[in-house]
Amino acid sequence: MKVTSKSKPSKEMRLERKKRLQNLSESQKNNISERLKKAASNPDPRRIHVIYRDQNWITKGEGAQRANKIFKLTRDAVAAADFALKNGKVNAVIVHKMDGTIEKWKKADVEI
Amino acid sequence: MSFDRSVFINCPFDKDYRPLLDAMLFTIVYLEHEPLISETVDSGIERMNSIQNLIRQAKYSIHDLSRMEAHAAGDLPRFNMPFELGVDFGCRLYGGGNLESKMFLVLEKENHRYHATLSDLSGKDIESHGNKPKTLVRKVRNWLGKIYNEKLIGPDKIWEGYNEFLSYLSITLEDEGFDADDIEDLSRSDFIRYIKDWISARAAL
Repeated sequence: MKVTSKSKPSKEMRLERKKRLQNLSESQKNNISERLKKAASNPDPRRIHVIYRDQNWITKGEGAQRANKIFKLTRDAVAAADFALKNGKVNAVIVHKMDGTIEKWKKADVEI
Repeated sequence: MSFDRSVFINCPFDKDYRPLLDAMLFTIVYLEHEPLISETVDSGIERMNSIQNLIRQAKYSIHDLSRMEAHAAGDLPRFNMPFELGVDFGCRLYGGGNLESKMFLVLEKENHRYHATLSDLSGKDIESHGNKPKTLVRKVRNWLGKIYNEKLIGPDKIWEGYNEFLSYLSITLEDEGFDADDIEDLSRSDFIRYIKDWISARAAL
């Protein structure tokens, strides 16, 4: 498995991207909208999310109705998801922070 | 969207509040309402005009007073949020017509903190979110459920959908040459647009 690592962008790079993002043309926005719709209508159940839920952490396949499992500790939820990734049962693990944003994105060696 | 499905949001727009605002926006759209926010108007008069218009357009309002505090020792607390809450209450009291049916959810950081600062609010619907987006999702969903007196989709489902949405938006932005962290730099009107795209595509499954 490989972990997607983030290198910290410089302040200038961040500002440049912010400016670009806040001045997207309508066609760029449409492009993002279309990609988003396409992705949302094709949830991949082999992509597993580790999500905070009221004092617990759950693992859940994308688009699934129910959680796979509930854990008391984040590290146990992440370990279970990693185990599934290592054994080829899933092809990506997305670990969310408590606020819902992404902490880590782990992919199998194969291209997704 | 109609008056009956619009929700005016009175909250801070700083970076620290962003995770709470984003989760709130997602919840409101998920529950088929239109969030109305005023984030871009800077000048005092224009800002108040814009807020006044939004308040008149919405039957529902969410006022988050959790940041009614000084940033640092010696700073003065921010009073924009309680001021806008007062304007909204005034609109219900004196606006006439359908404005008399306006309903409010007031959010706080901790239970009963408002007793010390805004005791006139006693007896109103006040909920605390503890600065946790997941708790905020539940409070907003429960408030709307109580108003409509019906069983809405569970807060866990909304929260999990929100987490998935954020991951999709991150991938999409990365594909467009941005970074996942850049989500916080999107204008909220674009953010709301993408929430609607995701929810409509998911609902069609």
